[in-house]
Amino acid sequence: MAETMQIREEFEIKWGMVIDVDKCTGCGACQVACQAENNIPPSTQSFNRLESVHWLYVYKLDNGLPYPDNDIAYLPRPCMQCGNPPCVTVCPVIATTKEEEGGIVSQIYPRCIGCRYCMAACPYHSRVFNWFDPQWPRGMDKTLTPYTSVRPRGVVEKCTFCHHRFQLAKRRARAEGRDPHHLREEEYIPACAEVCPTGAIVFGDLKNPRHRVHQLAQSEHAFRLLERLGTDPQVYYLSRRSWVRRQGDNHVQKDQQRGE
Amino acid sequence: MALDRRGFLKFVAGGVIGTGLTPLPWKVVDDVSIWTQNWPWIANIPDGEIHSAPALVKLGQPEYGIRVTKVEDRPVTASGNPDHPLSRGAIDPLAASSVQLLHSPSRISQPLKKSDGEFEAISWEQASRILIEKLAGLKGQRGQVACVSGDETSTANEILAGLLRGLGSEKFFFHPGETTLYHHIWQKLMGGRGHIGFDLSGADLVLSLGPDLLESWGNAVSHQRLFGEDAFRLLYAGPVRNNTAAVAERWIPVHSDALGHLALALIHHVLEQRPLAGKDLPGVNSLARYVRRNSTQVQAQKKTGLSQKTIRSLARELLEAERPLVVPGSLDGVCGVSGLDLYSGLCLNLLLGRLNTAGGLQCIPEPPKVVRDAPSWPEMRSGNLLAELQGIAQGSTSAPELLFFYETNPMYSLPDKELTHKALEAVPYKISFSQFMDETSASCDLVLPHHYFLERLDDAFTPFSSPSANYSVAQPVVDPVHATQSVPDLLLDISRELDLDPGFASYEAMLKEKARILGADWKKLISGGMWQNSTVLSQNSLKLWDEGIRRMLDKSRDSADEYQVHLVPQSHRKTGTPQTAIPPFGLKTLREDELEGDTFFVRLNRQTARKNGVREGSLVTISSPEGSCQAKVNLDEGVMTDAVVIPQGFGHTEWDAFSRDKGDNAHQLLGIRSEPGSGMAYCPSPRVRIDKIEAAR
Repeated sequence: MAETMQIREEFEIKWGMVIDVDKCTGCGACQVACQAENNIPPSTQSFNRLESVHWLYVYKLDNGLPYPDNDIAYLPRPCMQCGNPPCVTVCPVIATTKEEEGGIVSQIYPRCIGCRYCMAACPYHSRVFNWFDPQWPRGMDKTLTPYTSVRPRGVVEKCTFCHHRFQLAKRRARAEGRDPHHLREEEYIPACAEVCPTGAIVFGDLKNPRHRVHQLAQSEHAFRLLERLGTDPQVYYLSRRSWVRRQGDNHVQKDQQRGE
Repeated sequence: MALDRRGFLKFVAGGVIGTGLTPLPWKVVDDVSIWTQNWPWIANIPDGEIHSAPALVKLGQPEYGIRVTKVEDRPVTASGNPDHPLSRGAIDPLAASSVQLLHSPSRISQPLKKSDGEFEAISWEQASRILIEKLAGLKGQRGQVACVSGDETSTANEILAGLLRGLGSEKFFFHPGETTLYHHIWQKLMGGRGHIGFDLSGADLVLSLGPDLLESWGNAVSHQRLFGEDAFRLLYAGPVRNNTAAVAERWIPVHSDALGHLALALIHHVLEQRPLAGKDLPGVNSLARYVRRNSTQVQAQKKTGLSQKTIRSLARELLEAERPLVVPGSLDGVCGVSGLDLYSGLCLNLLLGRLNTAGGLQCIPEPPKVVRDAPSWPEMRSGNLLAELQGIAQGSTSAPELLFFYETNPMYSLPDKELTHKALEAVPYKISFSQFMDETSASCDLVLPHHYFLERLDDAFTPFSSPSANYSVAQPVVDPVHATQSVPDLLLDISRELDLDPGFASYEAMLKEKARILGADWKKLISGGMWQNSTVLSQNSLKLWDEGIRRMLDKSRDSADEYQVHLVPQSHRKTGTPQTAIPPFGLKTLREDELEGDTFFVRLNRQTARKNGVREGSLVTISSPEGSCQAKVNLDEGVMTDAVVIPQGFGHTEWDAFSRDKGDNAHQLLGIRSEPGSGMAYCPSPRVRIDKIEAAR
């Protein structure tokens, strides 16, 4: 297996997620909460890369076997916030960076020129492009949150692990005289993790032994998507089912993979 | 010196370089980049103080507490309320998009009256006057005013039913659903008392016989929360690997019309392995004799396709669990469950000793009634809307003169469209209190829009599947966005105008009285808390056997189906309920294999597809004796052979661009049957035919 090359500096904190695929029922509450939290406009189309914008997408996985041996799983896919993000290296205007403590890959909308090179570079299809200006039905713009700006056409956007919640948590910690770089686990949770009814999405500092994600990420059942590309994602998945783990990457038949 | 060409060019070049060294061009470029991204049609976000308020979801079942985040006085997002025991911080996708629904383009902004087939806006004074005149003219005439309510838990029902009774009518109906079906079987057929609840938190093994427990049945968010905490092992028996089966320990593929037979076979095995099971239950010996003599095991094997060894092993699993719980019910909240299914599932629990015990069925008392002249809650639940509509359509029952629709959309959600629409259209005057221009409101003569749940005071007593009696109240979190009114308060005023004193000056006074009777703290209730009580009702008239039950079991063995393929309706919260249609943010959660443009997908496996001459992407018509739907085929090996899964929530003809004309309405395929023995009018999962329209491209 190729070594992962960490070309970015190591941060003291590494915000990450562990998503238990064996608990995800595919309900979609996470997707709805993400849209509402981050001012993603509604669309009269369902999944459609031209007309509708998605940050978090829930894939339906299938083991490929016929009935009755068939099995399915649901896999929510946010931005991986890669440790070695391909999108950052290709951006010609430094509209996306990985330089803040915590390791969240930023997306700076006013700087983005819409070349979509980052979208080509991202192997996870995490990034979306605003082909059109956002539209809200009359009155529904009153539900816009102050957490993030409204993006016009021509810019790329993606999941930010609800970075505004990180900012709010740090501000609160400072106001209470605490170190903003040592937040408790429950102080900063993205909207998707907060609303997940089964608790399948767990969020925290992967480097902090007091955060659940630290242990969960080291489980023998944990895997990351397309690990061998060397992107070093900060989103881990858990499944006791080996067919699910194998779908995390492109394997040949006799390939050994973690957890088997 | 004359300015020659070379001099001119030098001057221009110098000017350009010099200007470039000033801030001017860079400032212009910066301003242009800002203002070309700052068009007036891009929404601005007003800032303000962020705070949150508790609310109670009232968008069809289930009802539970949530928190709404507000910026100043604007609600912006909804999330779970960790302090509310029914949800403990969980929220479903519909409730998560409830703030956006507040501003849905299909909201009705003021009262409407139909003239010459078109709606005209009128004032509340005019609307009230029309309603009072109509009701005054019908007062005292038996059965001329009727009501269909879709909100099973609100005290507003007592106002409606009390008004009807005061006018001389007992025609109050809840929209058919799990609660009315359970009520019929548990109380009427089996002589049980109280309202069945399910204590999943105390169970160690849960066997679902049909219900999509973790998605759309009962208090699904509570079930999801418990499942996520590994509170119980979960087995799912049903025709499709649905959202529950996707994470269950095991999926036991069984067609929906065989689930009751599976339960009977499990009863047989339980009685074989524990002969003294349920020995004190009246009728248990007759039930035991029946299951032994009527080859229930062979019947179950034939109908389910499961081997006797598998069924016996499942029975052993239930017996070896310390606190097993069997949950019988419909696939989607109304369809696909018969009296046999409920009876046999409930009996299985009784024989396993799971009645009124931790982790089992709980017999919960009905809510206290506060409107003195209203019918009791069991009386309200006993109305059978399907039977009534059948009677009207067939001419054996006369249609009422006036019909109210409260928090319900039956023109969309009732089965057998031809029959139910014929019956509803026979009513000369129909009034809707809906907040949205839905299919029912569009067919009405008068629309008096209620506040949306975030805009009103409302309550919920023991939502279906709750493990114990509970009571929640929520205050409005936002001022009304449109010129709507609180319908319970309006009806109280109208009752007084008709000299039918309900005994309360306001709806708030009624809810406070209910809280007082329960011993609940009003201040805690309106702050997002919940009253609960674990009192259960003893069963002194329960019976497991009588002639009606025997007939129900005998007749269940008959099957005469015109078509071959089992229809499996599947409901998802992300596509809303009939009361809400598809919420704006819910539409985008649909994958490419669920909705393509405006065409939705039905799912079947390869074997079924081959048998019916279709393949992936084929455009097909699904037909039943009652109607037909068009869809594309999505091949899914998580569907039993000879079954086709059809998603609910599509095919709306009203509402807004997020719902209208997307897919087809699965309710069109459903019919109404009257079950021999139980006398229950219900909606079985029909058999259908699949016809290809064109080959896949």
